[in-house]
Amino acid sequence: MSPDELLFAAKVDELYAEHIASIDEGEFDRWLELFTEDCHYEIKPRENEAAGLPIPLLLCRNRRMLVDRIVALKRANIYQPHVYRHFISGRRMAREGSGAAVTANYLVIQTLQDGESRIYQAGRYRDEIVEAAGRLKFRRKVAIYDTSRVQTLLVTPV
Amino acid sequence: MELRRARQPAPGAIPEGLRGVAGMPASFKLEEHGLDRLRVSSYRGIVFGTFSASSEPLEDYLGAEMRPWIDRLTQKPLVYLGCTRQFSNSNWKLYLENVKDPFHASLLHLFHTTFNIFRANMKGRSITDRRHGLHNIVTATRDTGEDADAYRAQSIRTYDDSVTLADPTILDMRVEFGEPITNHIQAIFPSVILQQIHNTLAFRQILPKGPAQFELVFHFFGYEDDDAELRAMRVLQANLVGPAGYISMEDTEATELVQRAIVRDRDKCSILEMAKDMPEREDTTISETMVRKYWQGYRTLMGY
Repeated sequence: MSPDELLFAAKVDELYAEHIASIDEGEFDRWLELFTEDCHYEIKPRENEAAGLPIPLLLCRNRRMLVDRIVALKRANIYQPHVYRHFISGRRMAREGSGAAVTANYLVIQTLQDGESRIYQAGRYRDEIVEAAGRLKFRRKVAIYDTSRVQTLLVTPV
Repeated sequence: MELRRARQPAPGAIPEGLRGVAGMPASFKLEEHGLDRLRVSSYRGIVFGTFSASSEPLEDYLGAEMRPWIDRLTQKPLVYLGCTRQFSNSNWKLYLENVKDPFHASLLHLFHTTFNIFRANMKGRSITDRRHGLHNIVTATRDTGEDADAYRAQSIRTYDDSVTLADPTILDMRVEFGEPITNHIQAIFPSVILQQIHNTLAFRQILPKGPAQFELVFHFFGYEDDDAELRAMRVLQANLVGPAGYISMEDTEATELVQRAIVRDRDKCSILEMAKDMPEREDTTISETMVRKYWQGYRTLMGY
């Protein structure tokens, strides 16, 4: 890899580190800063994706819809207190202009108040990132999950 | 899905000298040992199955009160759009109870109140099957104009301490069948709930997995003649329901709370008296009549 590619790869890793740190620490306003205004954010079961069916578990067609999800999480939805811990592996990317198409595996361990940590979701990100005002952002983030049985509910993004 | 079984030689195919030496005795009749037969019937494209040889024909089982409402959502060829699955550590009957209690929505699903999605002047229905009380339908009908445009224009009705949706597109609704019904929630005991909320359509399938576990599968559908805009509305409005649904995610949380309380406090009871003095009223959703009729019907069915 050239020095430019290495530097870019380091920036991509930093974006993903910020993505998981902001969610896992519950700092969702920080998380919203990682998306472009025209972003597409989606969580979709793998069985639908594999069958070519469009239904998502959660879909935001722009950043305003993502903001609404976070406001609902903070002020409207009712759920048990919980903590996520994300693990990302196997990140690959293909440069596209000043951005890139990125894929990576993810694993979310959820811990509820009973203190037990359980595998909540395993899946794969299929993302597009762009450079905007000197920093990388997600223009598209699609989480295709294998764990088709969602335990109880999903309120916190992955 | 096709069921296959490992091939077994027919008794006649076993060579003379081996009969009675090994394998099945000569008295064994293969046709007496088949798989349990599932009786399958369909109504307007919805396939039902039962292991009972004696249950009444499907159309009669669905009943005169329920059929017109099933017809309402199945009057055109359907297209399957995919599913989401929600798993709950609670008994499956609690989920049916949940959908028979329309009043819980304003208490549990705070999406509407938090974002000031007012439901003033909504007209409602709550109709129960007259024979046994196990099936029911709840509808809510809006005044015309109560959609995203009305939401954008209603700033004067906003409480000071609440928030508004940054993008209310999710509230759009195209009226598809005459009366502008925003919510059609119909429970067909024991396994399915038909749902229309705005333009999102689904069959919610209840799969019991044990006394204290069930899986809830939201099978979404549209119609073959959907235009691209309507199809996109159905997909976007999938956000309203399912495991991450703005107005449904809490349902399994609530049934889990009830499950834990029931198991812990076996000697206690809950009170279901709302609208008890008007059990025949079907023009309101502020009622627990459907829940009472459901448990009465269940008791009769089980012989308790």
